[in-house]
Amino acid sequence: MERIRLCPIDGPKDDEPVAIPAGAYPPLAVYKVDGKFYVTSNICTHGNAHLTDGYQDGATIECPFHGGAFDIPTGAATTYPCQIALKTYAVTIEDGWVTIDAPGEPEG
Amino acid sequence: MECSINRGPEVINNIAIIGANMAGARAAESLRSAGYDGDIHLIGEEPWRPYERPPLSKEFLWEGGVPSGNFYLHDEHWYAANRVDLRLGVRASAIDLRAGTVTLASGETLQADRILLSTGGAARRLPLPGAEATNVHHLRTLGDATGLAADLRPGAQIVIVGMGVIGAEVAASARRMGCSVTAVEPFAAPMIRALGDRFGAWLGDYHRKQGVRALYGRSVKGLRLSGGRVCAVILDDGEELACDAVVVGIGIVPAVELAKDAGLMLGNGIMVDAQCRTSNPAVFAAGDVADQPDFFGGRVRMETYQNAAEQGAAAAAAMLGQPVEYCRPCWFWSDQYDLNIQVTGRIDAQKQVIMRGRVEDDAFCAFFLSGDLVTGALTANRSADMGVAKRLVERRARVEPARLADPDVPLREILKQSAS
Repeated sequence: MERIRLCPIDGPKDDEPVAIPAGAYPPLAVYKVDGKFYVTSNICTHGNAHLTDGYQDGATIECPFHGGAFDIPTGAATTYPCQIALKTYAVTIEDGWVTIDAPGEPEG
Repeated sequence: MECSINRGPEVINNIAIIGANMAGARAAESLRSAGYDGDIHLIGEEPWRPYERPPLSKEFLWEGGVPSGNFYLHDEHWYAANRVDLRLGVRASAIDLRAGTVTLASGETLQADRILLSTGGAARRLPLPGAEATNVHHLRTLGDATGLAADLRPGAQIVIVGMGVIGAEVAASARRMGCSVTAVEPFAAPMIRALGDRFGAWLGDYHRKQGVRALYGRSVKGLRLSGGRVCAVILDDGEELACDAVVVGIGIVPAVELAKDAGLMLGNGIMVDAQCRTSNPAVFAAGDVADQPDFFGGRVRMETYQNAAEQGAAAAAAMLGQPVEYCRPCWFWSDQYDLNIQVTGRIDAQKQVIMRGRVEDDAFCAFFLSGDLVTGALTANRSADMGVAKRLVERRARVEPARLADPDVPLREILKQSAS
């Protein structure tokens, strides 16, 4: 499986997520929570905000526009007005990089 | 007040929530997530299940009066699945505090060990002959917004009466939709109560640059009718503004009738304490209608999304007898054109103002300090700063003003180092 390198592991700090501009994937956010790395879509499912501009508090990311929030590991919406879960991506650490799997061939 | 609900032992089996809106729905949801197993009646005068009001002045209008995917707070099956008895399109006409009942306009009577009044408010009507014409729009409900959306056609001449949050957002939406917009506002700037003189003036300039003809310091004296519709708005100096439709945004009147008839204590709304409890210990109030203790002392009534959501949840916990201390600084946002404006705490011209970013760039954060205490903040297109600003205000943080003013010092660092 081809992997996409998003950022070196010293990029995201606890409560300081890193924004990855769109490429093979839509804009992504890379977070560090208790030493573990997580990747979600960086676009709030409610407004059009970049979550990396929001306030990360441990495993929660608060949207900068309207105060909604998501659980980072699962992507679940936890606070209004957010209702729709964030897309999350499985992370592999490889050679000091935070990576995710490259998108597969489109089906059909 | 002596009249308390005859509730016997503290076992609560019936809760009536009057107001099927953000505060009411959040209360119902919180009751269930807290494990409350008894009956919940959620009674709404509007015919729609609880929905988001913020889109009504924005996306809902641009999208031709069609609700977006997450417009409703819960899908229609949620209520039955959570055993919430949702009564829509029916007004609660009376509460009887001795009998512990709520009477509906349909004549039905519901038992209630606890009552939550999340009755919100009604858009204040323009007190002029002609204000009931079909092309004069007040904006509070989905029905109001549906009527307004139909009149915001490209090229239509729209007159906005009142440039508070609703007026300013509708002005921006109407421009986006290709309408010609004239706004009349008695104060010297838009949203002046929310933003103060200096930042209100900035926003006024922004609207002007976006093509809004704004008449500040002017007021409306009359409406000229033609064939049942308003064809012109008459100003205090006699000037007439021809129009295809009028949008009135002059605030809300809190819906206190039930509380008043029941003899509950009223102030600027229904008086509650930090447990969201009214002057009757079995009756609670939350949301736009609640006159509550202010974070900074004194009392306040807040017409914000955050307050509706959080006070609704707090009232639910309090109704179940859980310890509750609800007293938060205000926080709200407003989206206009490509601006995201947010305010937390108190915006007070008398205070020291520390800026990050420049007003001229339409991207800034203004902190309001009382000595070294951060009491408020305003951001425009600097939403990343608001997450920290809200916490500085909430925590009554004391900061070094020089560091707050230094753009090279990350705000998170100031929050970490602040004493409170």
